[in-house]
Amino acid sequence: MKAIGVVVTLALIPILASCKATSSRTVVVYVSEDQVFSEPILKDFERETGITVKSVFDTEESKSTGVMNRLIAEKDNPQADVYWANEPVRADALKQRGVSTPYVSPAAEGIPDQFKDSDHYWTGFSARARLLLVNARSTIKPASVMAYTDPSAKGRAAIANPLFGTTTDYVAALFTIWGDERARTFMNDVKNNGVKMTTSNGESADFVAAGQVDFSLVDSDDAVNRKKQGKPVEIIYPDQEANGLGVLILPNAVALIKGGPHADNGKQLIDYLLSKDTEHKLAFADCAQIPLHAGVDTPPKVRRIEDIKTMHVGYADLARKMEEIQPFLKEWAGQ
Amino acid sequence: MGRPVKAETVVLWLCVALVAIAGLAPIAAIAFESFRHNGHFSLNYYRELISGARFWPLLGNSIRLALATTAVCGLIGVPAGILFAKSDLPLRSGFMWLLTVPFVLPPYLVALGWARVVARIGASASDWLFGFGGCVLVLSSVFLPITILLTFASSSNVDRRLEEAARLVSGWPGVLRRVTLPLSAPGIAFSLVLVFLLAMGELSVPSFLRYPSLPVLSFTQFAASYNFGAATAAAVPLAFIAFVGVFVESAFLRDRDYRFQSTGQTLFISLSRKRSGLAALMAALCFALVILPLAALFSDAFSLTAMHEAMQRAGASVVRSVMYSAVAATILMALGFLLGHFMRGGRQRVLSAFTLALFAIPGTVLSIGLVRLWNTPCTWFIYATPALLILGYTAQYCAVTTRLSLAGLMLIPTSLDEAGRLSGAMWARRLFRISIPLSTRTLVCAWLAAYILCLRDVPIALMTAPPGGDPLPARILTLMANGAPPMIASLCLIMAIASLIPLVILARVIPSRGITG
Repeated sequence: MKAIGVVVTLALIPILASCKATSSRTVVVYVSEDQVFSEPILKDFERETGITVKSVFDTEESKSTGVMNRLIAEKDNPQADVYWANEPVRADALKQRGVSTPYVSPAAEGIPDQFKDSDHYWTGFSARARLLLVNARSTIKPASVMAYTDPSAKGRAAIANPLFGTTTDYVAALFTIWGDERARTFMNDVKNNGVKMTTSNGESADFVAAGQVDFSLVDSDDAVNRKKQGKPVEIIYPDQEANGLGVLILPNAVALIKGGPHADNGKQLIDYLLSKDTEHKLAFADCAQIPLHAGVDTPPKVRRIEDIKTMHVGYADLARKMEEIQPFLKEWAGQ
Repeated sequence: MGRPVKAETVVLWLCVALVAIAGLAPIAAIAFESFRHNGHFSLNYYRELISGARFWPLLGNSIRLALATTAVCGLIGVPAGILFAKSDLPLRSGFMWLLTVPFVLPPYLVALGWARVVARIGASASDWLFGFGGCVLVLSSVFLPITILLTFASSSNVDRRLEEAARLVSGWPGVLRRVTLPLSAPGIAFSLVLVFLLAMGELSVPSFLRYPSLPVLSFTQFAASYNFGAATAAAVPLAFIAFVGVFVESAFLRDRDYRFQSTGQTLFISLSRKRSGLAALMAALCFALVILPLAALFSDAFSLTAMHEAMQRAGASVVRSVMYSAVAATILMALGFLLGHFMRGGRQRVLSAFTLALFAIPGTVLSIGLVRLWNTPCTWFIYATPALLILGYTAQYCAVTTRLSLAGLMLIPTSLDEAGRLSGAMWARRLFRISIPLSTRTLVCAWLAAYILCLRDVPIALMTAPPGGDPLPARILTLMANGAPPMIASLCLIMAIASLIPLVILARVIPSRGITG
């Protein structure tokens, strides 16, 4: 019985240890950006400010129900101070549900307005682009997403499940720019052309790298990552002609949570994330993200934002359109 | 003055209260939400669910997947369990524990291993893996140990005198068919119910292998629509099926008489000329179901750099995982033993059904319920600490420790308890002096089973761990997105080692005598 007592006491240590009052030198951040890229930035913040960062990570790629649901469920008694989203649509969804609160960060100066919420509920930084990753040995070299419906690409293309993540953003952008009818027809043509639906952009990139398909729309970090791994892939910025659709740019977005327990520390973290220094780090990290501040150095493989023809679409419009097309996407994806 | 309240009753109600706090209250909180629409009572979510074009096909897919997985586990696991328990098969202990390895890992890691195998084979194998066939393969290899171990444990404890008597008038096939298997039926039936429920509720493997199922629908309502009410409505059929499973099992076992004697000895079937052939068959099974996928999964893990990076990234999570699981396993062991004690003799069937329903409900639904219930300013000491995670583990897995304890307690003759009662010993005294000492192995097995289940759990860990306090499976999952493959492989290896240590202990605890002491 004594042994059981010792075991129980030892086992209770982690619970008792974490029952101390929350320190004022703490910030709680919920993160949807990939942990391998976001955690080093948060460690640097900890080191430079002495504020302890407590993080909850989630990934778009793992599609866990993680932090977005948690933030919504915690709305009446928030535990987080900051939400670091890997794209602005999620941050906008929090604004719609009254989970976040406005904050104008001085560090956001210099970031183009198209990457900020007009009411200051979130601010974008370090962006990804939706690109076409093509197998180097493939004879198909698509210059546009329209290649998905080309008969020569029948059964040779992949796309991540459009119910989740940045693929939803992309499809919602098509619906916003083209209108419902044309976008519906396009998506149905894509399906009829035998596209392979994958669970994530990462898996799509792996399919391309392995030659299981010729090309796929992926995020720029997935594309650069496969390039760095020495996989036989090429990156194409689609729809760059003068009257082309352009590339969808998806910045990270950071939002202050309404009623969070450490609002001042949260603001300090937001300032840090929006700084040029953070953008520089994320450009030179494996995710190779595109800085949104002018004048931030980038490695040769990362195009500057001013060198890309971008899609002109409002993220709030995307968020609304995403909710609207959910039934269509569920049916399209068979879920 | 009323009648004095018995200690037994108080403890029973405390146990019921714990199950209610950990599981039933959160589910009730979120179920309430599924009956409200725009602030009013409404069956809208349920109406939409049932009338939706996707519901019935997805339900059909889930049932088909669960039945196929249960059938494969039954067809391979029951003969294998009997073979390991009753025959002179060479290396049987090694085969049994090797086949158990996939169970201690989160199922998505096994699926990832298979994906790496087929990536090396080519596109044709990939087409097969990503669908129904692949799901059955992965889930069967993950859940097969449940059937093997419970069949092994049950058949090891069959009274050898009955088998000896039967052996006088019949060959081994007849003894197995007429005596051993019928007497092992509770353990085997429970293992099949467990496999069915686990396969029905499994989300990560169908999602990874792109096989649409009902848990995926429930998950989509959470992940894509953030619609808690609709997601709960989509999970209700899973709970309903769990109830059906429990009632089928109860009906199957009703009015049967089981006689066991844990003598530490068992009759052995001499396989004679078939030994080598069956050993080769088992070796092939181990290679196909365990070595092949895990070798592919761990192939990049053995580098010092990768291991160093893995420990840097997740060292604290390893320690947390072990500690959280140890605490939860201790609570689950005690709770399961007490509940098993109360359920002995077919009592408290409703409680049994509720615990199994909690087991069948997806971890995401349970977790959202826990968040909804406990996230208040007055209950921060639960919400903002690992206590919430441990409550989640307790609710989800108490059915397992309860049923394992019940199976063990059934092997103790009731006459011992009756003798204690007649000699004037109170309930607590009989519990501590008779039941617990005779159940040492049961308790150890229940603790280890709970520890492994908590350690490999992903949904509850993701949703309820406190900020900065994520356990290892959650960290592996979040690091998998664009993490270096060798580092991920090293993390998977660390996860396997953390899970295998208790498995080795389990192997030493039940070498041949089943689960009672």
